[in-house]
Amino acid sequence: METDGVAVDWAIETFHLTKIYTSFLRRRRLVAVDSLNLKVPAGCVFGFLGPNGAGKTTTIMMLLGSVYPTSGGFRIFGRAISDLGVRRRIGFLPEKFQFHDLLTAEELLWFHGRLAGMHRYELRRRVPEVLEQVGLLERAQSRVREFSKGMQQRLGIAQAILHDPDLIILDEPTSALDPLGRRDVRDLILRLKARGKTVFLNSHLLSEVEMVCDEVAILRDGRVQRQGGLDVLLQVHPVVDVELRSRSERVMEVVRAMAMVIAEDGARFTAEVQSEEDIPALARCIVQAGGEVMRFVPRRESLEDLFVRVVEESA
Amino acid sequence: MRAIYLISALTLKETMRRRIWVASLLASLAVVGFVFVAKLGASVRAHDPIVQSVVPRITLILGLDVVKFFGSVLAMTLASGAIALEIERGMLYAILYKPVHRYQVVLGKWIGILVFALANTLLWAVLLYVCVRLMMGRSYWETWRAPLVVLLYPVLFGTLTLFFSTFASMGLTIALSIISAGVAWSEKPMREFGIVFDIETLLRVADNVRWMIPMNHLRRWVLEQMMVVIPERMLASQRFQAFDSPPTGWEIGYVFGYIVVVLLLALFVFQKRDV
Repeated sequence: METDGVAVDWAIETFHLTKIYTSFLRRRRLVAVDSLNLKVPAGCVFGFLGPNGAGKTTTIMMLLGSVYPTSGGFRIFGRAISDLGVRRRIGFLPEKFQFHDLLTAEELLWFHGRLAGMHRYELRRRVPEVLEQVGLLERAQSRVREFSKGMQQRLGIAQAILHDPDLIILDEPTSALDPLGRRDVRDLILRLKARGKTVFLNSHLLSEVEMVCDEVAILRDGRVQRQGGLDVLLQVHPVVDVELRSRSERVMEVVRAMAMVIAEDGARFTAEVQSEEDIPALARCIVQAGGEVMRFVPRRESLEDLFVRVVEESA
Repeated sequence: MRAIYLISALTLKETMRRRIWVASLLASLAVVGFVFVAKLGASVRAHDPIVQSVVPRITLILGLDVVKFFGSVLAMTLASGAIALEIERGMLYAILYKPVHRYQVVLGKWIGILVFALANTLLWAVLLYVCVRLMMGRSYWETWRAPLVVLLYPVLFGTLTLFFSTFASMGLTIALSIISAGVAWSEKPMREFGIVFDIETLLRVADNVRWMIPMNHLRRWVLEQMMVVIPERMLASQRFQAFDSPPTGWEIGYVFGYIVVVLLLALFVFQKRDV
């Protein structure tokens, strides 16, 4: 596959992937994923974002072969998911899951490793290794039912990376973790990326996604609203946080004429300008309109700003 | 094959660790208690040779009914959560994306459940024979085929429940299993009422039920293996001729075919559904 003359290996490609749920007797119809076209380059950390009910988990379940598409298709590393060879290259941490909780952590990993096609000699080396990576080596002989939610999530991550997959799909991997656990997962994702693995990350913690992802796709109502490299998407529109001594309608009119006000709270507002060259001009206009500036902080648009803007624009 | 083995071994291990064996132990005590109570009853008329001859035989026949019941309930209990509960709790998500076929998951569960249920049913049956021998001083080893046929009860109801579990929620699976067992059990009373009160419709319904869930074929097949212990009066009665005559070869074949078809349906439905 080639884009702009550069050969790209796609870890995931979807073609008009659609999932429609129909109720019994087909009285109600819910379009969960609507003609989704997505391309995830191999070797990158890809953020899959969207508000609740956007169709993210349904998409993931289709990619894993658990849910069948109504129409359209997809490929993982250029092959169909029915190919067991491709499945060996996937690791997955589900969002809502429960393990067989009467097994010990070690037994559980042995079971999943054997199921993934690993040999016993590999597992003897690999199980302690991944348990150490997720900080559970000392609890290897404890039963899963004795684990906290956060520890179970760590074990879930261990299960997902145990067989050294090339594509790791993480559905809300840090939802039950404390700040230290989140940092560990972040570091783990970056280590996986350094080893050339593809990480497909679905998370609502946008600050974390921003720290680790190379590319993101923002989904709403089952459709991709925006997709691209994070550096490109976030450099499009610089934003400025401004605080005035007092609110002035005249100043706001001037600001609105040259920028888009994306948040407003009394004498504070956040404005988005077209380019970095517009920032000094905005400051000048505010002062000329009689505004008394207490704070003027230009910053790059955060992923959260982008997310809110894209979701609101598409509403 | 490895996936089937791994999943069936996991199912067995989970069953053991959930302490289902405690229920199995209680059922064993019930079997022993049943024989003991029968012996107590017989001892009241210790000098009546007819009672002393008939009671051990009836104890064995009814004891096998108890074993059938426990075996079926055990298999239904294990199978009802096998797929449905694991989907509801999200256990299967981490399994289904692995390089395994869905049919391997269902077969693994089926084998794991049946190995446990059959081992227990056999244990109870052996216990029954041993108790009759020790407490009543009678051996009926010549009827050894009967417990083997009894093993088909957990296979039948376990397979049927597993099939329900592939498409229904846990609650609905339990409900459907209980309804199936109730429908199967009702065939004989329906037939009896139909004959006694001459109700043609009831007889027709009973005929259909016999094929819907072929438990009655199994019951008659077990009795056929027990012919040598069935009291002569019972054998000669019109009631026995009407309700308990041995099944034909076709009826026995139907039972096996039924189990295979239900299992294939379970594999097909689970393959086609969204998880």
